[in-house]
Amino acid sequence: MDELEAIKVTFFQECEELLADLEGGLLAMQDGTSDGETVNAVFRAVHSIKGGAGAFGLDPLVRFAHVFETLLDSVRSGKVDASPDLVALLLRASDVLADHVSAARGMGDVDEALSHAMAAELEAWDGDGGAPAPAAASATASASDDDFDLSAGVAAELDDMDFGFTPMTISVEEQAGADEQAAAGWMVVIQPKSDLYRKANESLLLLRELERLGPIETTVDDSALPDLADMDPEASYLTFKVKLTTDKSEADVREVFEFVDGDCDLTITPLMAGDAPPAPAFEAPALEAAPEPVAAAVAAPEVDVAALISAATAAPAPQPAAAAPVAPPPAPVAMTPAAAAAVAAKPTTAAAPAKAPLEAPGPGQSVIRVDPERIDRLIDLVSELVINQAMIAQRVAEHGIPQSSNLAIGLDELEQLTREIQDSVMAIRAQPVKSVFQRMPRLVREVASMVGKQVRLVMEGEGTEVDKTVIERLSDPITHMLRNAIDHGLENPDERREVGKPVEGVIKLQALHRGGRIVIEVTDDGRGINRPRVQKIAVDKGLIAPDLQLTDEEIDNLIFLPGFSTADKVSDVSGRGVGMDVVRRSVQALGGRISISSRPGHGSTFTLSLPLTLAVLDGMVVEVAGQTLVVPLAAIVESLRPKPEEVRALGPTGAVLAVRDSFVPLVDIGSTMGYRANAPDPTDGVVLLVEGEDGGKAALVADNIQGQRQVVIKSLEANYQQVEGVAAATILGDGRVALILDVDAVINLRRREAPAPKPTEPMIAAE
Amino acid sequence: MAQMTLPETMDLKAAAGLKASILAQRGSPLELDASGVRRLGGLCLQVLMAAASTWRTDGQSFSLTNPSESFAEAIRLFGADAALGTAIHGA
Repeated sequence: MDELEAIKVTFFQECEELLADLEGGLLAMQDGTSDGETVNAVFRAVHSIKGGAGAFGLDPLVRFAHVFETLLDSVRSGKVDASPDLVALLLRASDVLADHVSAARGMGDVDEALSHAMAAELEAWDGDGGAPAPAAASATASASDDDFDLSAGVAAELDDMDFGFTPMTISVEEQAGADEQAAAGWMVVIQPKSDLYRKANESLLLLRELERLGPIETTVDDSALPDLADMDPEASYLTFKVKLTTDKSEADVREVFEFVDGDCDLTITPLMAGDAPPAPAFEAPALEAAPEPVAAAVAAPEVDVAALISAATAAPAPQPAAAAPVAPPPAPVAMTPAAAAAVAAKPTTAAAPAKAPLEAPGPGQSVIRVDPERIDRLIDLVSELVINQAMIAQRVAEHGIPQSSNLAIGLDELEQLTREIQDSVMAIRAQPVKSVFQRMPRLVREVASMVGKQVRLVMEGEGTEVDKTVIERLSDPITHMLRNAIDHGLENPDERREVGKPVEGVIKLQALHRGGRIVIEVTDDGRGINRPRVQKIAVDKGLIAPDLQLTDEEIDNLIFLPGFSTADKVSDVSGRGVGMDVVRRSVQALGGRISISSRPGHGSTFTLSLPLTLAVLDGMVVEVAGQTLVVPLAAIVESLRPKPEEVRALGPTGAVLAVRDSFVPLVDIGSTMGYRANAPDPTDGVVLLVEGEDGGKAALVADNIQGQRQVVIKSLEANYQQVEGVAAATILGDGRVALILDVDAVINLRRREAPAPKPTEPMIAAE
Repeated sequence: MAQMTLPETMDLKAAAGLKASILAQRGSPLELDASGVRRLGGLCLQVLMAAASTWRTDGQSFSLTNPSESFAEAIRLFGADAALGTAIHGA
């Protein structure tokens, strides 16, 4: 069943995207930026999840999705008003749906009670919708929408799974009208894409071609058609359902669409008319007499069929009562072709991977799914190539071959090509931060309801791209920053009202590129940091000296100190045993920085910056006590040779360097890292002026500078173990291993060694 | 009662203009003369359907008169009789 497993994996990947679409759409509805298409997209997302889940027999998921979908359908058709309350409910329902998906995937559990309560709430809302027969009405819609949605096509694979779902609906539907068309034929559902018209093709011609194969009877589905004023005259909204009576084969029917391949979504299913002689006699009067119950009856088999595919015995039929008056007699009849269709549908589902390439998404939007391991391997290889290229360059240089020689020129070109390959490979791994951001609205909702605050999350820059290695590590710090902003940053609704702010707090989550790094900012419009209180706590906890003079910024950043927590009591939300110090440490381990700035009364901003990639680094190669080390270029402000008059002794061992009107502490890398016991005279070496993550400067003393180079980062933790002061390692052109310095850690190491009245004070004093 | 004559060729190029000129008549009853239509494409069909539904919502009358043979055939092939059927007169 490997093949099925593979399809299932794809399905769950699709689910993630669909859930994101769902949430995005609902948030747009909440913001009032939605249009008819948004509601459709939201509906389609849930519907597609249900369709796929049905094919895999994920019953709890199907059941929940069905209730959800039913309500959404009422919203879509305008029977239920999309009030803010409803959207809030739908958002919570989307969270439960996400839980169901995770559970179906074997990751995590569903809170059954919550799920039932939510389903009940969704159903109840449907009832309040004011529609005279909501169940029947929405059932009609969902029955007919199956085909519509199918062709809307979220992705080829999922469509194929959806196919497994659709034929039953159609065949049952066909059953109802079987008296009219007794001959066999095909049900062709055509949903032209806008591209079809743009390429000067015409759906009318397709219909005319179909008619050559036999008599056709078209019905047009205009449920996606917006108001005249809102419509894009060159976009395609209609779906045509063509009942084609013919003895031609499916291939013949498909041939009609040969020239519009990819520009229209197409479903072709056999008509089952001739198979069910008893049905017409019964159903014809029923159709006239009671159209709505019939619709319900149509819907009921739809659900049965879902269960049938899943091979589950218990069929969830949500509207048995409505179906009762008409359903029992035709049901067995209807089920026969349905079962046949289910059998027919199975190979379709199994054949999905083979079929997928044929029905690939239209031009311009094709996406390849690649196993990340393959890309990692490619990146490793390119890294080796970079190292190898550097090695050859070095050998050539050692042999004293002139720069103008053909060999040297060829090497230069090779270097450029290598760089380009490296950049391109890195670009493959670059992903928008959206995948992390999209999990945040839910977090904010949950935290907000836990602490009883009203919060609106505004997200910007979701398209900002960053390497996969970084993206995986963004989630935790962002989660923390958001929790902190909601719990500590924002005031209670009452407080906000008192100070004249809107009751709803706004938290902005933003991603942007700045100076070759990715910067994530979390801004709240809360009360800001209470500086006197923060300082008092830090003093009370013995974290800083009582008489220490600190700037506002320094006080703000005290919250990152180990052992600091501003909440009077540890709350459920922020106090999960992880303080901001842990966040800062994990961020620093990635070569990142985190800081906070605050304006009392107006709010605070957390700023997190990380390198765009964790795979390569621009570094300065230096020699220290016979060792070759790499200092990240991003940290270096400038390098200089100090003059004797610029170096001032400070205390017995310390020294500072005068740099343009200010003094910067001198830190000898060699003695700090333990390479040598005594620091040499700084004037004999080179000084690298570096900037720490908090903006503090230091002057690192090295013996010599070898040059500037892009190095491939090899994790020290993965290959050896973590070493303080060392961020990672790399392999140089000559094949030797060089350590990459963790600049902040080196500065901190030095600070810790410096004499201090209190053990913890120097860390702050130096900041 | 506003009256308009539909163009001979109602294809991709005609759709935007058709939408604009119909929309300009919003608020008053509208009668569209379809006698000269030789080609009706899917995009213009959408405009007509949306217009019919918008006019219906507005409570104004909307009609298509003197449909040409091509126009009537297209409507039949599209299966749009039900959506536009009541609006077509004088077939």
